[in-house]
Amino acid sequence: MTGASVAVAQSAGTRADDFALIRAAQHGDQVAFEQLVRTYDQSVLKLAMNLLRSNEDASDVYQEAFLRVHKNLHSFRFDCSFHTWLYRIVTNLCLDHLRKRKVRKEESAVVQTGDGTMDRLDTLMEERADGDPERMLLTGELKHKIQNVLNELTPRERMVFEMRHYQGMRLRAIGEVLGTTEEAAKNCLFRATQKMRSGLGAFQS
Amino acid sequence: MTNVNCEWVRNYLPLFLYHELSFEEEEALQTHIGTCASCQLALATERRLHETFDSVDRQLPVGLLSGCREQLAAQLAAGQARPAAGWLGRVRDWFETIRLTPALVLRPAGGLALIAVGYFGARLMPTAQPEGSPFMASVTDPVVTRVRRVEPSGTGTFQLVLEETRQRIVSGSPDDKQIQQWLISAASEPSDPGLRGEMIEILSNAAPNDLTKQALLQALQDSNDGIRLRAVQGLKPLAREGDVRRALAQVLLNDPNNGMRTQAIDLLTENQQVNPIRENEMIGVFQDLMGREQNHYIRMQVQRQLRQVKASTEVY
Repeated sequence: MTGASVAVAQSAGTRADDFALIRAAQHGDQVAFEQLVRTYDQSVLKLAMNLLRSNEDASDVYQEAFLRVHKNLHSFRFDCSFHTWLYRIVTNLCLDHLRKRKVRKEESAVVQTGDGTMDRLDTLMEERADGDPERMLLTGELKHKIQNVLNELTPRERMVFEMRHYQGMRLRAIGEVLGTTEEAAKNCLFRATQKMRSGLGAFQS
Repeated sequence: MTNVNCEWVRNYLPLFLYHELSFEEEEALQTHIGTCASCQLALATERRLHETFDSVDRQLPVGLLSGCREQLAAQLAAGQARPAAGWLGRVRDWFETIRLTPALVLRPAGGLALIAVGYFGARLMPTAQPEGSPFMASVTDPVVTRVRRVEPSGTGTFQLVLEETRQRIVSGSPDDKQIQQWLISAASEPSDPGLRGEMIEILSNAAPNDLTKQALLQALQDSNDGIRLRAVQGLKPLAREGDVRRALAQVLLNDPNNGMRTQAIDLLTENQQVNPIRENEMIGVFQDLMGREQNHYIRMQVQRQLRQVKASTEVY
């Protein structure tokens, strides 16, 4: 079997697993529902965290998304994949949070701690630069710069970039999640990468 | 397509790295990069930018995921407790309603009494069991009754028109003809895609015969992507048969789902027919596809097949 067909078979296999879990959960099987949650919850939380940069907001989105899934699973008709359905809920909730923040004049990315001011992003775990001060400094600067550039993107551009780059989703799937076409998602990613490229400037070389 | 020059290539480098360009765009871009040193440099820079994004990929704070899971479990448990309280509340409200307006309750109670007579009467009737039946049937399950119409008969009684659905549990092998007919009937139930999917899954795993083959071929037309994918997988053992190959060719030409078309081309190419004359029918299909297929992998497979039989990859 070729690489591509293995990928398709794997994808179909995943769907088959989902299918059985969803059917069981629709019939009231709580264990199946919990398994379904655990299949997706890490990537859901990571998407919410990357977009909202707040433990509390990401946690709120997580709770609300899976409670909605639990409440409405009986009406899930397999018209799209469960992943698409779930991500539609999650991205809508994240967009609501981002819009509310915009109304509140954009929540400050800086928080006050006992050690002085700190960027919210720095409260997240640093996993790659351990033990190398120079690299830590560069990575820290990069993080700030990338975050600043990400803040310049529109919520939809940011959403598309996060889903394509960090979640590895194809543009077609992203289009389905956001209720738009693959072409529109492609244009959105194109604009996002253009802005990222010009915003990062010197860091690229 | 737009003129391929350095500006176009540099604009599209991010989409190239995400493998999101069309077949033609990707070919044009690669051809240009192969001959342009400055665009090669731009590609290397773009790759570094991608790596930069990767290097700041953020991990979840320790304990956040487990905290979220615990909170969700608690909320779900609380949510499940609430309906019980609501149900008791509703029962209390109902008794309160009876107390206040007894006439509202006595009429439906009369109706229910009639239904009960019908129900127990039906339970006492002997049920006919086909002799020598290849499957086991359970005792008759409760009748699901729906009141279709109620009309007052003038003397304080009511005439009820009831619709009754009797449930019966049967069990048997999916290779059994009668069981298969029921499965096939359920596989085309328009109101329940979940049920259709389950039936196609079972039929896919049953020993192939004409009945299961027809059901799987019909499921290739289903509106649900998941069901069509299951059906095409179920047809794998039959992929050398002429009618199945013709159906797969139609999938290849018309199905909007990339996964379906990929499965179809794989089945068609992995199960070449021995009879080359019949296989010639496929050449036209493949040539037609070269003019319309956008998927890179499928185009490559089709191109390879056409080259193997020394057929033109162009349509004139």
